Amino acid sequence: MGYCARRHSRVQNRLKGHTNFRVYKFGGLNVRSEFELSLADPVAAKHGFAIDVEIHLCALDELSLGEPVDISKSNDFFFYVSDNLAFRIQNGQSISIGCTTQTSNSDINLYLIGSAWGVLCHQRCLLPLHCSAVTNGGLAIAFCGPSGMGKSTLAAGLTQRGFAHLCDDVAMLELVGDQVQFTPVEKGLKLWRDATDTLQIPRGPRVGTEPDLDKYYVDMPDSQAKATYGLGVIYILSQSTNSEITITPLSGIEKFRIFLENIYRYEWATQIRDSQELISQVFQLLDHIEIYQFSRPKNMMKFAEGLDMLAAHMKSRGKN
Amino acid sequence: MQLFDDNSVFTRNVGLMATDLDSESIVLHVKSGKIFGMAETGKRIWDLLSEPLTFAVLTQKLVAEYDIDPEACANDVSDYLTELVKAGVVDVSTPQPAGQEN
Repeated sequence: MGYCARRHSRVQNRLKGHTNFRVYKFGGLNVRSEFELSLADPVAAKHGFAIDVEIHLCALDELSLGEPVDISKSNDFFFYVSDNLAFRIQNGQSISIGCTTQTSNSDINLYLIGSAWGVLCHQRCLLPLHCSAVTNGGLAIAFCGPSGMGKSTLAAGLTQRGFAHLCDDVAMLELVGDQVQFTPVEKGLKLWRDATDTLQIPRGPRVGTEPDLDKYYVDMPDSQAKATYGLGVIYILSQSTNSEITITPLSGIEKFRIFLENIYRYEWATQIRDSQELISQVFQLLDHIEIYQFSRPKNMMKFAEGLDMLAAHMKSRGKN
Repeated sequence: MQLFDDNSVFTRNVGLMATDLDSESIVLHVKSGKIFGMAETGKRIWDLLSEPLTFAVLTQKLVAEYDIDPEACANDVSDYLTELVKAGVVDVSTPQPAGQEN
């Protein structure tokens, strides 16, 4: 049995038959993938259709194993998730998924369109922003902040006030002329159990297999994730030290620092990319981005009041 | 200890990236990764140092622009430049007095 046939049969056995290559438009790129991207729709690859990214499956021991995160070569980046899953990302063009019979599809999906995709974007000198987003008046409105600050819950809450959902977790930023273009990465909205209860949204499949990750995909029927938008405003979520809800503009060094903090996998970006090129890109983008700090109490008591205030602010910015 | 005198020449360090953002200058020391924000008078000093200046000329310019006491200005600017030199943002060189060159 030849190498390809052996790999094919192993992968087929391991991944329950997900062995056919399909072509997708994902995160603004044309992707040919052996692993089914359940959140993206396959597209027909016509003659002359240029593939930007190839995604392959292989046995874990077929990947070149290095340190848990091997960044010795920026264009050949390896990272290890568990004893059953690792990724190798090369030249911004290919992602190899190393897995075993124990690997779940949900775990592959979670890290493939998360960290692995983030590395690929940095290798391609694209700037991924860690955010959730909705759209207002044809512009993307992004919400950033530390994990657990409520980005996804806030975006989901705004959909119940008439804003269409754009993305959960990551979007690509690119300066085109004088406007920052915002391309959502389709990852599906994930909410903690208590957030689905608060918003009364039905829970879908559980996100991963880790016992502490009590998070669920939820359906956003009016999602507008498949297009590119101009970026309107970024809101940085933070916790207020009192019971007040405030929205304040950020500028200068504060704006710069907080933007860096919210670049997806920034700690890896500084290793993968030329730092001067990266910072130049950030300088150029920030000239065209408005950032506000949205500060509110952590508890959900004032959640609805915060949503009202934010919605009114977003609408006022959308009039510009 | 005073690191410089009136004749000391200040220049922006090489290995920096800088931009103006809103009303501030943002300066990144590429090697150390340290970031500096300069606003108001600090930004003005940074702007003036787009060309090498002696301490005396720099403070004279600031006194004329801000209509402030020369001695207070010299003290404040001295402290600020000391910080910038220690941070590697600005270089200082003090010419040898005439007759002492090698």
